[in-house]
Amino acid sequence: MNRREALKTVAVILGGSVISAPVFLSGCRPEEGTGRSVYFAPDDIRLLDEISETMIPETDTPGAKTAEVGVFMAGMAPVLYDEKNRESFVAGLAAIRNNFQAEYGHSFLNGENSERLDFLNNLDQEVESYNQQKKEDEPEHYFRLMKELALLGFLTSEAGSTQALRYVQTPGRYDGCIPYRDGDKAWAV
Amino acid sequence: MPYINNKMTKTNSYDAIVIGSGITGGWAAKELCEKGLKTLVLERGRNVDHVKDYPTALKDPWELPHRGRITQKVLEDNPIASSCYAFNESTEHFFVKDQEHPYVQVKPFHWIRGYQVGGKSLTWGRWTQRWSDLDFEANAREGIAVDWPIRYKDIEPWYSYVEKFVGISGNRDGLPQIPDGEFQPPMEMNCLEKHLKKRIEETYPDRNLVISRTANLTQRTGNRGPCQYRDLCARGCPYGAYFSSNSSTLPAAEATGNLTLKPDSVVHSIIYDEQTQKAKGVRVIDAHTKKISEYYSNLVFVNAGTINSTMILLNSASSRFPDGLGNHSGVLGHYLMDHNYRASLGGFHEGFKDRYYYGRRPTGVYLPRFRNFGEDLQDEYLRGFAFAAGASRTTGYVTDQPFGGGYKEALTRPGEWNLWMTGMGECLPYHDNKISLSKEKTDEWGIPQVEIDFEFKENELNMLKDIVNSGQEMLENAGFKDIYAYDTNQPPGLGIHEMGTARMGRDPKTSVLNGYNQVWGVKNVFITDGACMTSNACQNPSLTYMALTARAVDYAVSELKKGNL
Repeated sequence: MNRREALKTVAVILGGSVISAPVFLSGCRPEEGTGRSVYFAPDDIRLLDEISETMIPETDTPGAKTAEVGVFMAGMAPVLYDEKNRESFVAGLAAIRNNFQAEYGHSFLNGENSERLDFLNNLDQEVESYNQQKKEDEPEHYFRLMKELALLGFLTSEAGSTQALRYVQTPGRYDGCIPYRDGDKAWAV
Repeated sequence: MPYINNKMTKTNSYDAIVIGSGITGGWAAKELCEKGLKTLVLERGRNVDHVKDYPTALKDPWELPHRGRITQKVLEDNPIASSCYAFNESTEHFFVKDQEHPYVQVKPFHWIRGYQVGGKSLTWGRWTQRWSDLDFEANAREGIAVDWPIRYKDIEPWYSYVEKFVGISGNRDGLPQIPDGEFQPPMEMNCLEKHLKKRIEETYPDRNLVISRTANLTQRTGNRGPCQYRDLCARGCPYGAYFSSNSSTLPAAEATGNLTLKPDSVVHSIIYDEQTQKAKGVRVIDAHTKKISEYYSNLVFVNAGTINSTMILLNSASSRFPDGLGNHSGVLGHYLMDHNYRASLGGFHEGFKDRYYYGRRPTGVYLPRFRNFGEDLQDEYLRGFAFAAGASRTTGYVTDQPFGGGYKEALTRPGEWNLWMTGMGECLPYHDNKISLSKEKTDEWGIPQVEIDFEFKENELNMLKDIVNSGQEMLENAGFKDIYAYDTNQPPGLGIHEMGTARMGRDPKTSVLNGYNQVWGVKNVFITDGACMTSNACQNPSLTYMALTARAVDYAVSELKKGNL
C-alpha cells in the first residue's frame, strides 16, 4: 500500500468528515456493526506516527514514520478491533496526549526523545500489571493495542520488510539449517 | 418437477456426469475424459481459472489492505469460516461465508466449505500420508461399525498412480503405518526439527519424526512447479507448484476435448429411473437465475464433498428409495467422522542460536501413529493419533528491551526457536453422529438445509488426554522451555476431514457403497469423496480419496464397456 492508497483507506473510514477523538468520546456513539465507528484527525495520525517512531526509530534503516505506521494504525484500529477495544484505543490516544502534557508541561509532539521513551516504557510496564488483573470481558489496555498495531504496521510495511528486515519475495529453495551470523537481519513474513 | 421435453434429453446428454470439481471431482473428470467419455462436470460455485483467478497470489504483505488480517466485521459475520486456520484476508475469497449457505448445528460443528471450481483443493493442507492395513483392518479387528471392503493391496497401485500425477515430495522412511510412495525429493527439516527427531527416536524406539509427505513439487512436473518456497499456497499458486483441481486434473481433462465444465450449477437431486433401476441423470438449479435443468447420463460420479454428496442422495427420494437414493440399509447420513484436532502444543528452545534457515517451506514434520501399534497398547481408548509439527525462529517478539534503537534491533533479528504441534486423533464411526435433511429450513434454492448432529465421544476424549500428555512429555524430553499443551476445545468440523455418511462395506444391508464405491442397488452411481469412508484413520485423507476415485473410475468404465452398467 503506497501512501496515497493508505490515505484513501483512511479517507474511506473518515467518510468525508473528520471527527476528532474527543468529540467521539463526548457522546457521539458509533454506528453499530459498521466497523467505521472510530475516526482520527490528522493530529491523531501525527501523534501515532511519533509514538511508533519513538518505539521503532530510524537508525541505519528506516523507522516507523518512514514506514507510515501512524496512518496504518489509524486505518486499522477502527476495523480490526471490537467496540470495547476501539474505545480503549481512542481513549488511550487522548490519555497519552493529556498525561504527557500533565507530566512534562508540553505536548508529546514537542517532547524530548528521552521524555517520550520514559513515558512509553512506563506505559509498557503498566500493560503488564493491567494484564495481571484484567478480567476476560474487560478491554485490552490501549497501549497493548497500539504496540501491536505499531509492530504489525512496521514489520509488514515495505520499508520495514525490505530494509529493517530481509524480504525475499520468491526464495526459490529451502535450506533448513544454515549458519546464522550475529547481526544478520531476520526474514520478513 | 419441471416439464421435460425431448430436445433437452438430446442436447443435455453426456457419457458421464461428475457432481463437484474439488479434489475428487477433478480426478473423476480427468480419468473419465482420458478414457474417452464425454464428461459433464457440475460445480455449484463460480469458475476459478488457474492463475488468472488468484487475485492475491503475488501480493506483497504491504499490498494487502489489512496486511493479511481479517477485520472485526468479517470476523463477526463469519464465526464459522474465520475459525479455519487458512482463512485470512488473502484467502477469504475461496471460503464460503457463513451467511451464504446456512446449515443447522444440532451440536456445534464448524463446517468449512469452498464453493468454486476446484473446491477446497485450492486451500487444502496438502499433507498426503498413505493409509495402511493398520487402518483398513481396524474395524474388523475390533468389531467396530463394519469392515472395509478393501485392503491396502487393493489401493496400493492406485496410490502410486495418483502420486505420480499429483507430485508428492517426501522421504522413503520405511514405516509400516505410512507406507512409502512415489516420492519426489523431500523438503529438508530445520535444525530444531532435526533435534526433536533425534531426541524422540533415541528415547522411544517405536516413534519416528519424518518430513510430511506433501503435494508440493520439488521437481518440475509437466508444466507445473517446482515449488518456490513462498508458503502462500492457499492463495492459489501462480507456479502450479501444489496440486489442485485447477492446476492439475481439470486442465488434463480439458486437454482431451471431452470435458464440459458448468459452474454455478447447484445439483438438486439425482433422477432415478424405476424401470431400469438406475440413475438417468441429475436435476440442476442455476445458482443465479434459479432455472431448473436436467442433464442425462448413464454414469454419475458424486463428488460434492462428504456432507453435500450424502445430502444429494438424501434429497433424491423415489418410490423405490423413499429415504434417499440407495438407502435401503438406513445408514445413509450416519457414521459421520472428523479428526480430533483439539490439542495444541508447543514451546521454545534455547539452543541453535547460530543456526537459521532460508526460504519458506510449505509443509511441516509428521510423527506417525505409535499408540495401539506394535507393543504400545492402550487401555483407555482404541486407535491412535499422529502429530503435525513445525519449527521456526520468532520475529518481532521482544520482551526484554526498552523502546528505541536497541528494541528495533532486537525486533528485526531472529528471536528464539519455537515449535508448534497439533495432535490428529482418529474418530470412531458412531451411528448417532449423523447428518439429515432439515424438515423446516431450506436454502436459497429451495433445497432442505443440512442438520449436522456430531460430537466427539469417550474414545476421542480419552485419546485427547493422551495426545496432550504424550506430546508434552516428548517436548520436555527434547529440552523445550515454556511448554504449552492444552485442549483448545475448538468445535469439531475444524479438522476439515469430514468422512463417512455413505460408507463402503461388504453388505448392502449395512453400507451404501460396495468395494468399488458403487451405490448398492443403483449400479451407475459412484461416490468417491470422503462420504465413502468406513473409518477415518488418523492420516490426512485426500490422497486416499484420490486413489479411490481413480480406482472407481477404472472399474466403472470397464463395467460400462462390458455392458454391465
